[in-house]
Amino acid sequence: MKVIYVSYLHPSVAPGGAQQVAFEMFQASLKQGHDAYFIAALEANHDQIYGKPGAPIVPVQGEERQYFYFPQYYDFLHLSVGDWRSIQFFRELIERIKPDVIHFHHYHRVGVESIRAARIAAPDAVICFTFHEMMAICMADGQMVKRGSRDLCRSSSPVSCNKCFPDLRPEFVTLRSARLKTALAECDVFVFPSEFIADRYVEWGLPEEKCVVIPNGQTNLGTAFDRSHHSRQVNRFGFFGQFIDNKGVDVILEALLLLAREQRLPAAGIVVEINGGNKHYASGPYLDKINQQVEELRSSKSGKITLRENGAYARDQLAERMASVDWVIVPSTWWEIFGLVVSEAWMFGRPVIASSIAGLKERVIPQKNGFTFPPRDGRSLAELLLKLVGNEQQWIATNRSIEQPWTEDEMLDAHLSLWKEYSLSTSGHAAYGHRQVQGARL
Amino acid sequence: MLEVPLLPVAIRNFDESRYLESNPNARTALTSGEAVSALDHYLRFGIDENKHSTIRRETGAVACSVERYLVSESGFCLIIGWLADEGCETPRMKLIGGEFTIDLPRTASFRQARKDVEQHVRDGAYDYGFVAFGQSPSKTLLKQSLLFQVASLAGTFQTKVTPEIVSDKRVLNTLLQIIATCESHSGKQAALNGFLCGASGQALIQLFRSHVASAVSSSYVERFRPRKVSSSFVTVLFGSTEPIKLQPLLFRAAGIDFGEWIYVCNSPEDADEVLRYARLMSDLYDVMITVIVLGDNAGFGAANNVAIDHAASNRIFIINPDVYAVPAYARQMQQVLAEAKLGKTLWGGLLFYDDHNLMHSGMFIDNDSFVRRNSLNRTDDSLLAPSGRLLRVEHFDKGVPFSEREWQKPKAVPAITGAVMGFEKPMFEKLGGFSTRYIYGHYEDADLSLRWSASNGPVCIHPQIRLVHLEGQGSRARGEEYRGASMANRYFFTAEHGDYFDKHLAKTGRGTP
Repeated sequence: MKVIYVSYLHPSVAPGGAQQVAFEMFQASLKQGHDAYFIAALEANHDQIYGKPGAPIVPVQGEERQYFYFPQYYDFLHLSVGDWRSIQFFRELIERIKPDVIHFHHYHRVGVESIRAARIAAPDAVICFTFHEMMAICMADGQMVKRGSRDLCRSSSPVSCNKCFPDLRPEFVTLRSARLKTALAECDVFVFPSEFIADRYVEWGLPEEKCVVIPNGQTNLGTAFDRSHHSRQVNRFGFFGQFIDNKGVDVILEALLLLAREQRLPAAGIVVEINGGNKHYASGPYLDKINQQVEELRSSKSGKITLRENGAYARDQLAERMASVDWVIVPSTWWEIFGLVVSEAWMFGRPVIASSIAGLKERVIPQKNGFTFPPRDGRSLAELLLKLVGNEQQWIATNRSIEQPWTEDEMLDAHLSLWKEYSLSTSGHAAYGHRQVQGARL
Repeated sequence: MLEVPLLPVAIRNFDESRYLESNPNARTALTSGEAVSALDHYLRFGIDENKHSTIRRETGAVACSVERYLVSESGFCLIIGWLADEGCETPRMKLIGGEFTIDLPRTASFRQARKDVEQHVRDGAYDYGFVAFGQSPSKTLLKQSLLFQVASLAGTFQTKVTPEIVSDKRVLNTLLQIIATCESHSGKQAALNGFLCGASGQALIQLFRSHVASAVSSSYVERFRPRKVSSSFVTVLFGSTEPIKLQPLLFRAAGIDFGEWIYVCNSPEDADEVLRYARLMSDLYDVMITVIVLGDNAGFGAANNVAIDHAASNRIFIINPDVYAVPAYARQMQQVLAEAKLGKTLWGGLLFYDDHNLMHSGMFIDNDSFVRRNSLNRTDDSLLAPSGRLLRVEHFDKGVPFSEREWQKPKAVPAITGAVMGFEKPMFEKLGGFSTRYIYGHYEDADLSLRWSASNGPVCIHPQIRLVHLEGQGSRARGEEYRGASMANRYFFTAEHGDYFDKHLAKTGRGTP
């Protein structure tokens, strides 16, 4: 099968879940003998580094079948590339490749116009769109977290969106939404990595019959790892991910502070390792809060809390970082769509302690592959940490019942089956219903 | 009855017989007993009527200031200042050059309240501010330093004024901003009515037309995917490019084949983006889009006139930038587009807030009265009428739930909104298009409707033209000049159609259709 993957960013340029999944599908496709291509839409300033004069699309230096795409005149609010020339080059590339499938993994920077261009360029191809976030629904970076109050938003509406964006009248929200739905209607099938996000998009107005849930898969980096290994005290907790507001490092620190203030720390102490990059994307107030919390922890002089900030990590460092923790805390304070970090923890046999929210709530089953606590609740996390720290028996029981997460090959196979059904469908629009692929492991 | 004693006045050398000889009124008054003597009549009536030049006035100075003197490229001038002449008759203003004098007519100026001046001169209900406006027959005559002279009973004032030489638009906007923000102790409406419904109003319209001529003379036209079409949608853009990103896509998605979509861009600073999106939308959806970029904001009427002049078809639909398809009613709209001709009718549509609630269904005309206020101004009825009225354009069915049963056939209405209009181009051209007497926007649609029904044929709501109107969302006319223009247009509309309204109240009123 000839497949073009269209992604926002490229893992080699900037790490991120969506581009990682897209790229691993591309690699899996090649590995399985498919004729695959990867087009990564980059940020506006990236053409200065990776671009060539006058070229909206260029091959990735030193790589085959991979392209950097530099769409011009991007309009974030409309997720729109307002430049006929960029779109024309994108369209012509697809015309040349003549794919059977075009799999979009984003519209941000890619522009919803690219979907239409793909349809014109390859009228008979299956156009598949995977949603990794909720930008079409929510203008606040697709996170459905209210600006200002940071409260969780449960449903978008013209009036409620106006509260976050007072300069944009409710009518704008209506029109924006109508435009995006019209552009997305060119797609044959929508894929969601969790039921949660599928439900949000169906509620927003995507036709349920086009929506399918396929969990993300990843290359198993833990094949050579001793998954049953843990520290003697079973007291090492790790955070992995981006050090940004919605990932909840502050909730971990709050839990530690509560334990320190109440002098309830275990004799062996607690070790917490923060493995997170992109701190520069965190907000000033958030970083101020983190700094205050760290300062207070230091001044508590309990001597029983060891807090280490290890910074960002590359994927080939993951095994090493996972080896230094027993448990992985995923304290996200937003609607975490899927949580690749959960998969990564499971690859290495680490039980997960996660916020009970959105995709995390679907995936983390207490006592089976991890533990959950109410989102944003430092007190509950503190109690859970106390319950788990040093609890070797619990660790072993959970470690043994963790299933390996889906690999990129399994994820690809699920997509291939879907695409074949569509290719075979004479109408081009098989009736699927909002469903989950059989046998999928979340 | 107690007689109020008058001050005793003695006049030397008063020639009684000569006064009676030259004043028949005095003779009559003497006969009827209204006056007891020729001198009595002279003292009580003759002096005020200025029958003899017995009154010699010393020329005193009066406090005055000229703050701005603007002269435009086409020779329009605007003088803004204040004059402490409380209680006196309308002052006479002159501009004096080396070998010429311009007497500014009384109707060329109006007085406005100036709180800042009142604080320094004296508090009270007097309009110290003045604004004088007019057009010179020569474009260059006023572009020099002149002597500005004011004479009133309070005294005289003169000063050298040096013009700020500016564009027509600058003078236009400055005056419109004053119109928007001014206040008068006599009542704003009374003050503006006197100014705008006379020669000054005509000069203001002429100034706008001069600006329009300049704006449209340098228009740029580009057609994307031209083809033969049977209908042309026309949308005027101002300050926003959103519509070109949204309308063709959403109308097409709703199943409406609009033929050609003409976007007239009244804000040339948006031209690049409009042209880019026009080509993009045209390429992606294989639709014909024509972009016309005007040199400046020519207003709604003139921009539509230019667009319709360039239209590739004779069937025109004016669609405001904030008008969108209602998917539930798109089939009906498409049916209208499939019809051969629109005939002699000026068609409007049913405009909705959403699928179920009407925004309006045609317009009618009403009026509001105003009464001049009591003030310390010397009120001259010829300048400030004691009372008056302003026409108002209202909408039928504003915000009511839609009833399909009531809309089975077309309904005649006095007027329709420019938000959605459908007509045959030759009929529009026969009327000379939209009038450009309405500055920037407002009232030109009602004006067209009234002229259409007087000369062309009926004005009706087509029950199958059903669209959503996100009123006021399509353009970004921010600034007091736009508010001032809308106010001025109301006076112009009243001056133009007031008599018609009076004569045909039953026809244009709410109850008719």
